[in-house]
Amino acid sequence: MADSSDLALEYGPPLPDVAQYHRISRALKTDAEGRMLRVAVLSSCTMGFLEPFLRVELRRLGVPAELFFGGFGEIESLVLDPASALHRYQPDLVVVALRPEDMFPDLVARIGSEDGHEFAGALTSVIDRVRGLLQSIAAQARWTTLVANFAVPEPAAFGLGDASVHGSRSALVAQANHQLHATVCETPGAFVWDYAGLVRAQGSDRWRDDRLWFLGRIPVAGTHHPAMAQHLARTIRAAMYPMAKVLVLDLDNTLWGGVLGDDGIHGIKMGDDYPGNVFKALQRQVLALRDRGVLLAISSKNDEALVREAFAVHPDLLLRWSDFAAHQVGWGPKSTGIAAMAHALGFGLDAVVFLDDNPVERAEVRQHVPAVKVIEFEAWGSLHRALAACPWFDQLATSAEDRQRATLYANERQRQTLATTHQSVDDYLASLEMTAVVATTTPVERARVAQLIGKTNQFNLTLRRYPEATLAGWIDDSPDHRIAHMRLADRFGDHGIIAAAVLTRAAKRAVIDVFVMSCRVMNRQAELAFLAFLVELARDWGCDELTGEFVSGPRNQIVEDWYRSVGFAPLDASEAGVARWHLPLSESTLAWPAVIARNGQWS
Amino acid sequence: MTDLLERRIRDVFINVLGVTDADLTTDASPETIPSWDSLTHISLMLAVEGECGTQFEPEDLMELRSFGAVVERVRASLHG
Repeated sequence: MADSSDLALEYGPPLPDVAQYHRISRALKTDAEGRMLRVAVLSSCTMGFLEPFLRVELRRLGVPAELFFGGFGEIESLVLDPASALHRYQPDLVVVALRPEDMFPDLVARIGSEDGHEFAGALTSVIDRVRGLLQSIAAQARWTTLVANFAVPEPAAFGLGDASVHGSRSALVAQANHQLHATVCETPGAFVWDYAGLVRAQGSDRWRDDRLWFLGRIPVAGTHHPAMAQHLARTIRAAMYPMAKVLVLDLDNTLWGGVLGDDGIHGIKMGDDYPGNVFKALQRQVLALRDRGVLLAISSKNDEALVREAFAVHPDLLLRWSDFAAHQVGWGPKSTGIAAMAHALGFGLDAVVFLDDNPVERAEVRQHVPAVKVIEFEAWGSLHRALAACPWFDQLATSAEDRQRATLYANERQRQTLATTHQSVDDYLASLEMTAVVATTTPVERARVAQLIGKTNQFNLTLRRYPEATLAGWIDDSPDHRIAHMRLADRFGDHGIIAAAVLTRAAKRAVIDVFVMSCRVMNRQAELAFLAFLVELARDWGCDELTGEFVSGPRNQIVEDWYRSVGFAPLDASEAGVARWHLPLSESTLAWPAVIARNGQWS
Repeated sequence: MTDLLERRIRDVFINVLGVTDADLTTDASPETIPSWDSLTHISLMLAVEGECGTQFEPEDLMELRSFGAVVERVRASLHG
């Protein structure tokens, strides 16, 4: 199949190009292999138009399917006769869509008596017909059945007075949907397809295209065919397959706003005002999933002690550490942590959904654990919308067991040591297609560099903060100071300036006075690239030695041993909480990392 | 000569009907293309509408039965 088709086959909003559905559908038909779900659609109006859309949307949900469409009005003959084409087809699932306006056009369109009993009678007889079909199906076959509920027929006979008059269409339809629900739910294996909800969500005004209706009994405008197919496909999937069991959540800028390590517990955005209210809404939504039996898990690049403290003391967090059935807080690849958590909780990777604001983390998880469902979304602020729109928690019935599951797991938390698997980190980093630009800082970048030095708390070796004016003085006329910075971009976009340093010179020794890097790009060898640049600067300066310090602070333990890890040797410390390191430049083999292109050039 | 508009409509026909460029002569019609049946016809016309941002009259929906006729009608509707 063509590459573009493969891309379109990932789940996402309905595809904008209608013709694409036809092309992909044809390709899926020829590529058919393995077990296909057999779906039959029986209806009182033409539904055959849905075929390519439904096939593609089911496939996007991971459900390869064969489709059967009865002709319009051809329902009982197919269901009741054991020798019919439908029985020979042996469907796994049957969709029944009966519309009162198709069966009783006059009773539906006209006023009738004052209490509207003619209209109510029409609805009742549709429900009776549904009941008969369900009984017949239950007696003969084991088909899962979806029954479409009723949208309010348009146009309403009373026009805009409809809601005011006695026996209004909308009120009677609401009642009928209630009865239909009761009828369907008393039959095992039968569920409601919320057609009324679909029409409402898409907008009943533009739902129908009169040309299609009058020419071909097609009840839905062409622009809605993809959305209708997606809605039905989701309902079919939910009827046939269990929902996802685990929601893995990132913390910084996902579950709360801001970066805990940089902003501190009381600096994260979480509360009743913008932007904290965005994250509070998301937490409510997550709690609703937990109520439905979804297990929650944390995957965060953070300091675990700080995260635990935040959950313990932050007054506005709705979720607490103990609400999560598994936790992976640290600096390893997220794919590894997610696989370990799924294993510990006893679920397959395909039962896991991952929500993270960072596209790099999402891509890493997609690449290394492709069975995990990764929620994609457009922009900041659409996180809760993306979670609401995601199909993996669709569920047509709930059980008491579902609702208790989260509690069960919290009580009997599995304490297995999380096994770690090793993937090739270099392959992953290479796939990011990183490119860095390193330079000495000019007044153009000065403000951003000052900001980075001022607010970075985690990857910060010395915790020295300098106001912009101080930096400006050094940039303009100090021969013994060099300010440097690095920009980083990858295939997901430009991160801007993410690292900065201040070098000072004393005779033939260059000293790293400041070295900071944004934790967004940690563990990507960006720090090595930047350090390699500082080594070059020191050599250019005529120095033969580079020294650095680690000054211990509340949140920078992650770089405590960094100088050793990159080849510096320890020097005697002169004061407590300060470790000093040096690198003789004549011996240094420190090189620019191969996974990052420099100034657009691959080394 | 194939202009841009014809190219776009051509691609819609190729996607919806599963035909090749060579099949789509000006006279190509349900008689020459087996996959162009009555149900596909509506899908085809809807896909052309979506691609070109135009809307056919009901009669056109039914009666435009050749590739050339569809292109000409879309062209006329776009140029008033």
